[in-house]
Amino acid sequence: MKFILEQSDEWSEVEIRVRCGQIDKALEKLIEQIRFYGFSVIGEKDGETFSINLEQIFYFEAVDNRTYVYCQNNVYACKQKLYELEDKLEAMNFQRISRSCILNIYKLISVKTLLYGRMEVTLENGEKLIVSRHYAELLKQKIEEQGV
Amino acid sequence: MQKIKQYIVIDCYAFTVIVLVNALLQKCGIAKEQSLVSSLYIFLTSTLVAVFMCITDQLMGKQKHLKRIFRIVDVLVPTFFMSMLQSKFHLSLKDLVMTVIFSLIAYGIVSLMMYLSWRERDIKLNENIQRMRRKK
Repeated sequence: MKFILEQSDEWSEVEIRVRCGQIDKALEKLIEQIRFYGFSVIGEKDGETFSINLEQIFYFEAVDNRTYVYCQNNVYACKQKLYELEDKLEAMNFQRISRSCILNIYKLISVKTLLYGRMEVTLENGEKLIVSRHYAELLKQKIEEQGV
Repeated sequence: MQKIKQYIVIDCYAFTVIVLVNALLQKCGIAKEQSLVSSLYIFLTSTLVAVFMCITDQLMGKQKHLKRIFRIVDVLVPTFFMSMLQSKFHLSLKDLVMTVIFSLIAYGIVSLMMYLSWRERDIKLNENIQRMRRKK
């Protein structure tokens, strides 16, 4: 694989272009990483607007028709709907874990299966979330794929 | 597919547990000797229980407490029905009580085994998470 890095003051924005024949597993992972570190979400807090990198996000939660972004210490309101975020984040390290929550699996510390197929996940900040039975299997598959 | 596999595993565990406990009870002289037809009845019963559990899971996604009660009903109804059928509707009270106790014990053992298999998968998942975090 060739790696070309061009640096110049001409460009104000970073552009990443991938030229390839077939996309294999390794390349797919690389693209996923680029997306993960390159994308951001606009969040609002106390009347201020912030650009939040995906790597900072622990999870998204929909409460009363509003979407919130949960980070290490802050919670931001987000204008995007959960289903819109789900579409965008599907190919990355995010997984829907219930009707109201999308989790960043990179923030996971451990998982535990509960009765009736539900799961309890523990995040880096010690917070625990419940994964509904419907999404538990999908989360398990995603963790298995990522951990390979 | 994974869910179907889970119900098949429940079926297999239930059948194995019932046959083993039954053999043990026969050895102790508590249960009657089982014929080939009885084994088929046991298999049909465990399969019906798995089917009933699948239906309960589909219908009662979020009602946890009601689901717990229905899980026991899922075990008792097919067991009772198949026992009646096997005895040609001449099931004595003693046999009925034995069947209920027996099926609840089997349910408990199967639940425990399922829980242990989930915990085993949890360990593998947690190893994957640690690997993922190291790679990050």
